[in-house]
Amino acid sequence: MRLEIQELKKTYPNGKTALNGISLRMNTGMFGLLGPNGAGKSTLMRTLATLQVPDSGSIFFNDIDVLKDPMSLRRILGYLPQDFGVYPGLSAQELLEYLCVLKGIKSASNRKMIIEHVLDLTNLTEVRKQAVSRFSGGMKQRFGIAQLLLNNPGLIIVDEPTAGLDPVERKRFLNVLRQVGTESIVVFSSHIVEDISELCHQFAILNHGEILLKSSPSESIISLKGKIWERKIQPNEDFTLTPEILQLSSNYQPDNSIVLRLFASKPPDHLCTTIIPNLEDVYFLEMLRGNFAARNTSQ
Amino acid sequence: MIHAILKFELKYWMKNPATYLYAAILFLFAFFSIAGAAGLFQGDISHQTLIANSPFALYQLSNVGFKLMLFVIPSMLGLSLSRDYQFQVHSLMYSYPIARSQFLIAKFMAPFLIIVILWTCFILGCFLATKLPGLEATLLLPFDLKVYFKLLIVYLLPNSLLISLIVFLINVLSRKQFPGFISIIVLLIIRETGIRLSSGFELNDLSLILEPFAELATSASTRYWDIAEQNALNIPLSSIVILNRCLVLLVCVFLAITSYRNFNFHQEAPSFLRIFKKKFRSEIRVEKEPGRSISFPFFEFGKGLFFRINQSWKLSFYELKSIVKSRAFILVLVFGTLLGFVLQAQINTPYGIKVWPLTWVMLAFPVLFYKIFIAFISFFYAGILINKAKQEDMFCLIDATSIHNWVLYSSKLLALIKIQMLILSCIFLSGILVQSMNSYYDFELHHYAFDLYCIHLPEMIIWGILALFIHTIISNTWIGLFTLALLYFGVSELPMIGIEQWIFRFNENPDPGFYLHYSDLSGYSHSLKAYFIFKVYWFIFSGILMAITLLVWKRGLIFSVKEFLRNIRQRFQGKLVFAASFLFIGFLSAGIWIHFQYRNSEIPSAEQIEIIEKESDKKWAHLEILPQPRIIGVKVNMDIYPEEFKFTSSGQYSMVNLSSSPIDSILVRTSHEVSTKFELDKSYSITLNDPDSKFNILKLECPLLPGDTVKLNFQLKSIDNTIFQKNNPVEKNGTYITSLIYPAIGYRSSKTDRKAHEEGATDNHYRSFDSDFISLELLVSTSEDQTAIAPGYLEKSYIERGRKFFKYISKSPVTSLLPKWDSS
Repeated sequence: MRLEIQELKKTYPNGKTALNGISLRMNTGMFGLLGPNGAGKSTLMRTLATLQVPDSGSIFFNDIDVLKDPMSLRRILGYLPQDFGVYPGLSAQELLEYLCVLKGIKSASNRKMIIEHVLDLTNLTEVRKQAVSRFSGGMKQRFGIAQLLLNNPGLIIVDEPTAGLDPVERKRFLNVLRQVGTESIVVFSSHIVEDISELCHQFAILNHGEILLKSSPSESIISLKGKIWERKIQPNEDFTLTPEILQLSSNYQPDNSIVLRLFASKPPDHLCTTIIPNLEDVYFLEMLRGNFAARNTSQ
Repeated sequence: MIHAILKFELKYWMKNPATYLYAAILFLFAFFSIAGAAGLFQGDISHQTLIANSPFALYQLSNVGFKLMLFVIPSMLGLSLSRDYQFQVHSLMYSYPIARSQFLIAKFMAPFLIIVILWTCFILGCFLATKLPGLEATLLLPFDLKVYFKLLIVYLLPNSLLISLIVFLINVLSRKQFPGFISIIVLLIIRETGIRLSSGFELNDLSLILEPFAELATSASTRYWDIAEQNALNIPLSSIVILNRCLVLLVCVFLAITSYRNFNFHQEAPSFLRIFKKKFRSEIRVEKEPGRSISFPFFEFGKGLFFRINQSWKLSFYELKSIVKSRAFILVLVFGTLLGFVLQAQINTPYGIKVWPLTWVMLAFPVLFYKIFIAFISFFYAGILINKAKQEDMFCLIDATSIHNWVLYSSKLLALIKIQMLILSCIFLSGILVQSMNSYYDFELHHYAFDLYCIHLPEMIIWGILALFIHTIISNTWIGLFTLALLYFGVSELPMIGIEQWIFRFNENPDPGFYLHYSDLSGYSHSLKAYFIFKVYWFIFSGILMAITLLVWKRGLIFSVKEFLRNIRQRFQGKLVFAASFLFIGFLSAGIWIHFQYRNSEIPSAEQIEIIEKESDKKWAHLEILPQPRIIGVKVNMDIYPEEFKFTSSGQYSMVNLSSSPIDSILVRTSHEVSTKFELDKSYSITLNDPDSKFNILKLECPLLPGDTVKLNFQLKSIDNTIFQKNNPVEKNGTYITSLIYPAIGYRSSKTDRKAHEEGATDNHYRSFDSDFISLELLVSTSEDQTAIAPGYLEKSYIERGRKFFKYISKSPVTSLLPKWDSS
């Protein structure tokens, strides 16, 4: 399975450019889209889910030209939007039956079997008769997963699904997603780096509608090996940053000291200690580089 | 704080385009109603005597305006609080230190002030219309501010306040916008039921006081007004009206207090509304083992047209269920059925005589109510069906599935049709119940089914298709609903602006209430065929509406007009182009065909006859006083062919000059409804033959001296029916023919026919002008299975050549009342 996005552009009527020539290629497995709020992730996800159209560019899923023939993609699409509502008063089972009919599953016995399967998979069997509109955030997101699985999709689009979930629910949700993501292409967007790092084989960092980096989490982390430094400073102490030394993040300590995470090819000073990089470092570094590049372009 | 909230809310409404739309519509409605009544659209208004802006006319117009306002008020007051919940502002706002009373007053007053402004627009429309040039000055009174002020204070504002407070209270309790509208429908049904239950036709004081809009109380003192009184008098402020208004204000105070007591700054709505909700099971937190296989069971996707139709049918049940399960719908259905039942059960009350609860009676009594009821329920729920996915934010799940737009659309249409059928079935059942209660057990189920599901349902479906179309192009449910209400009432008013042809009057048909004239002998008669032809015509048009609906169907997110147009371009291809073109050509061809069928009609319409009569009077009225021979004997043969819907007749008038002077010319006027040939048994020449008025002057070669007789022989042939027009009275099973089809002697001015209350009416009886006592001899033939009944004594009856003959004679001269033939 292969999803290929070429030069996708989208500018909204208010002048905001949400996608600025995005090109990506994805294969079977989990693909993470990482980026801050307003980076264009949801626009890209909605475009992939055929809910909106780009100004230009192309999307191919295997041989399907998605923009010309959205209906063919919808048959094999599972989509979980960032935020969704449900018809009030309808139980999980009723809603899944309704969605099964919408997705074109032929016989009643097939529908029954599939609904039982996805309810079991998402651990909602016992609450299947409860109204989904009264589910908690975590249960609702699991219902979201259940509904996207109904047509055994080849392409799964999941837009910031863990936002607002408590740690236990988040963990449970990611487990379910991991289970379903072995035989399909799963495009998973998030601004939580940990989600991507736990789940995805491939990921891309998106900001201002542009791809800043496309890599695998492990490769990108290895590329920073020996270049991430930690430096503890006191609250009133100045630490001079140069173009060669980039501050990725800072964390306050219980004693009010601050620990800086720095990117530099060489040790910035003798007090710095080298540390093991993580995906958050990759993310912050790319964001900084992206911002620099944007600033230089605007100048 | 109250000022800040009030200012914010007012600003919201002033920025809302719907406010301006409502204002414009109310203004234009008032403007054109007054201008139209004062002669803006009609060329000849010489016959009109009602003053356009008399207090009575303004009161009646404001009543119609109030009916429109019944759609506007729930859209505004229903949104005042629910908007906060819809956009989840309440969780922020309710944590601020705001006094409950101040908050509620501001939330209520802002939309109510806008409603007052809307009424001002209405009044402004009434006033400015009178300033239009070219209106008939005699139909207008000078502007009188007091009249408008009285209308506003006594009727419009108290009624609006009552409706506003009801909607506001429902909004407080439910925190949703739509239940407010439903509560108004329920109120209207209760009001109508109450009126029916309390009194029938004669109103008692209690019902006058309790009726919430003071329409009955006012009607009690104005309903016997003649035209002069309607033009001159002010609407009286009777003690009953004052009592009624005081009661309404008391109810308003009660509603305001109840709203205050039930409102709270809590996250959830008042809890007593949730007593019927199921207990919610706490969250399941059992972890499944990670990493297990999710091998998916095998299944098949459906394909092909048959599957899609099946899919649409199944989805329609989900759509239906979501509506039928709602408390609002159950309430409306229960009260609607109750009113239908009351209407059916009261068949004997109005006339004080026993009326058999025949099936057609059961169907005819509540028909006007349930037609309007179903139409507005369809308009409302069409909006709900179209917009609910967006409103509940579920569209992103639905639109990303592989469902075809037409399947989704047709599922909503089917759901709407099922709702209509459900309401019609309630009328069906209540009819049977009323019949049983009256010990009438001849249940004609097929008649019920045909009348409800074959005659009325198609009309409702066409309205339903229009409703889905309007709600698709207008995203705001309320504006869509308001537009539909305007269209519904506006279509019947099209003739007022000169659009009289049926092909331009959406979903209408000639002889609109034909089903009310159902006869157990001859069924629905000729109009049924024309009705179905017109329904097919409007179904073709509805097909075009469906194609346009599919073109503009909202799927996913659209951010600009450019995208919208690109969508349409992409969709307008293949089968849709073919279907739309086919339907368009079909509609055009059907329209042209209907138009020409009408143009070929041989019999002038009642309106055309009125014009012909007026023209004829101008030319020939002076001949009315000419002495004419009187008819003293009539011999007539009448052959009725029920199977072929025609008749022929021949006969002879024996006439004598009873005047004291010779008569040199005989004036003969024939009927528009038959083709007539006639001749005298004396030498004569035709000096005038006016084909329009069917008036002839026969000049005798030798004048008819006093006491002389002359015979007029005539042959009549019925004019064949056309598809749309019934040109003769013959029915398959029950024909009623009057003597008006026969030639009349002398000239009779149309003024003679005027109704008693009209100016220029005389006391002459129309049957007495050309004959006195006559001898009568009638031979009527009809089909073998039928019986002819005519005046006189049945001398003999016999069968000859497969036809049955009846000979009636008068044994002595009978009055001038000329014969009728019944054949059944």
